[in-house]
Amino acid sequence: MNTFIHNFQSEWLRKKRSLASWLVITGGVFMPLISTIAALVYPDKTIGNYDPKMFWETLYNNNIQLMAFFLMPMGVILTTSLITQLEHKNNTWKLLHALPISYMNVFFTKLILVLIMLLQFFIILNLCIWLSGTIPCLIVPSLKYPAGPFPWNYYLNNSLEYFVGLLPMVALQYVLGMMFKNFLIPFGFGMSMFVSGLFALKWEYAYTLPYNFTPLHNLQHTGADIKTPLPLASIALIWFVSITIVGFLLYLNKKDKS
Amino acid sequence: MTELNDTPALETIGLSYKYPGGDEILKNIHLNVPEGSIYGFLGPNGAGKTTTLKLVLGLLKGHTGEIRIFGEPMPKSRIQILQQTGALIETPSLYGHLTAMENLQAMQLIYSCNKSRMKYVLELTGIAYTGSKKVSKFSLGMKQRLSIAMTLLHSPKLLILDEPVNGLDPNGILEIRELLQKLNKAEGMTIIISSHLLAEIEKLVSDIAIIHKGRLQFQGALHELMQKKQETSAIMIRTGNNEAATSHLIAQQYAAKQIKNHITLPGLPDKDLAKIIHFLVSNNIEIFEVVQQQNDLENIFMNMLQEESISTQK
Repeated sequence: MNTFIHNFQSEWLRKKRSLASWLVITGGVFMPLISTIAALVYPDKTIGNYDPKMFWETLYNNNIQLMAFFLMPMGVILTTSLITQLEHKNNTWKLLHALPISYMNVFFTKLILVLIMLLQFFIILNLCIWLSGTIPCLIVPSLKYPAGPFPWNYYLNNSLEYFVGLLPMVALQYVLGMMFKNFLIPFGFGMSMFVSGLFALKWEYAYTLPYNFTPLHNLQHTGADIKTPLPLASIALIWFVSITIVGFLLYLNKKDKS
Repeated sequence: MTELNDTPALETIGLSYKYPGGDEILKNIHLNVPEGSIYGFLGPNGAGKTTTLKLVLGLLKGHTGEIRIFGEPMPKSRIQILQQTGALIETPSLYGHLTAMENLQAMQLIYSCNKSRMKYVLELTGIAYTGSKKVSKFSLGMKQRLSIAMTLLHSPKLLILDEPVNGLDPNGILEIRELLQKLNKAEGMTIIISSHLLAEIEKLVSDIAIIHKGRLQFQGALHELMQKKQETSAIMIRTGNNEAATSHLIAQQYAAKQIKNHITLPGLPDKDLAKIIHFLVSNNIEIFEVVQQQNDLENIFMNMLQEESISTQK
């Protein structure tokens, strides 16, 4: 267990100042920042127009919609591919594989790193959404800070659904990123899967595609009638576990680990 | 000084390897690296040096034969072996967006060694001054030094260095050589160093192996190779009367030959050479020039390759 913790600390250090770590921060800040600017410039057409009883829920949905359809999947494709690319670019796979740690440790610690970064993204995103509602209320005199309690559960449950929905994508991008040195292969594959998934959103079996879970959750959440044999989160988890196991076996049996 | 035992630091038994669908890269390699030695692993580019070292470290799969490090089988005892091994394979493996200290820290966390080792190895390899400079801004020589520093972080018993002086200036090469000798003597560290820079190996190693086209051409102590060196060396003498001098030497049972304007003799110990000079002078033969052809490792190496090539043609 100690070796896993130590390797994770090392992984955390190694991603310091990397493009992937900046993407997590900018990804979380981007939409709420635009919302904040819009609310400051056009307060009456934006948050001033919200139903005070559903203020935070509306703010969340307005921020998350574009993210669920485009920015989250694109961010995951890019960040996951960049994390594995860090080792390819620096020629450090051979260094990692000559360290006294198991292959299981190498594979799963890096995957956990990506998952923690995703979690970090959601924390930043949620915090910034709250700020995008709070800052304009403090600055613009015509806006009133909502009187009701903050809907913690709403934010938590939805963020968890989106997080789980992104897991199959994380797993597939991670495995591809580990197997291929050329960054364009995992990135190109991810983007084409994502775009084709969007075209297939109206297909009754759209839930069978691993890159579709966040837009599907958003559609379901906003009232669309999407029938699935199991809850979307469960299907996403089955995808995630299956891809991770197959990916680990492929990695384990890779003949050249240099 | 560490106490040595009879178990070789590294042993390969009938090690062979071929890439899937490709030709055989290594053919029946029997390496025996004595513990406490500095073992030179020589060969031209493409000879199979890096492939051998990658197999030894478990970076490649699918070999036949056995690999044992300190008596433990690889890859079965991979983690145990890697705990006592430091390795630098081919080009430096470093995180360019981090500083030298951060690179070391990333390794220190995994090795769980004392933090003070980081500063120590930076000073040892002469790059303690780099501070907050990112590794991507380092010269190749500095990167090579940092890579060596990383291999030393956990005080390994076995150090595997694949072409470690690539990119270093002559002064840097000298410093690294002195450092490796110091580590070998003071800490009893076994060092395997691969290179095609033969002159560098000659000055550093105690044992040597030569590999060519995936086959081991020679393995033994450096002095055995030096003996071979003497056997294949020659002496050239230019005199005032080469014809008479040749006759005198042949009469004295020396294998002298007159070639153009000089006489050649097979390599001899210095005392025998002094006797010959004295003998010729006492026979009133003027001596203008005596040259001992220094058959360095390069020549021996080339001779071996030629011998191999002739025997293959036959």
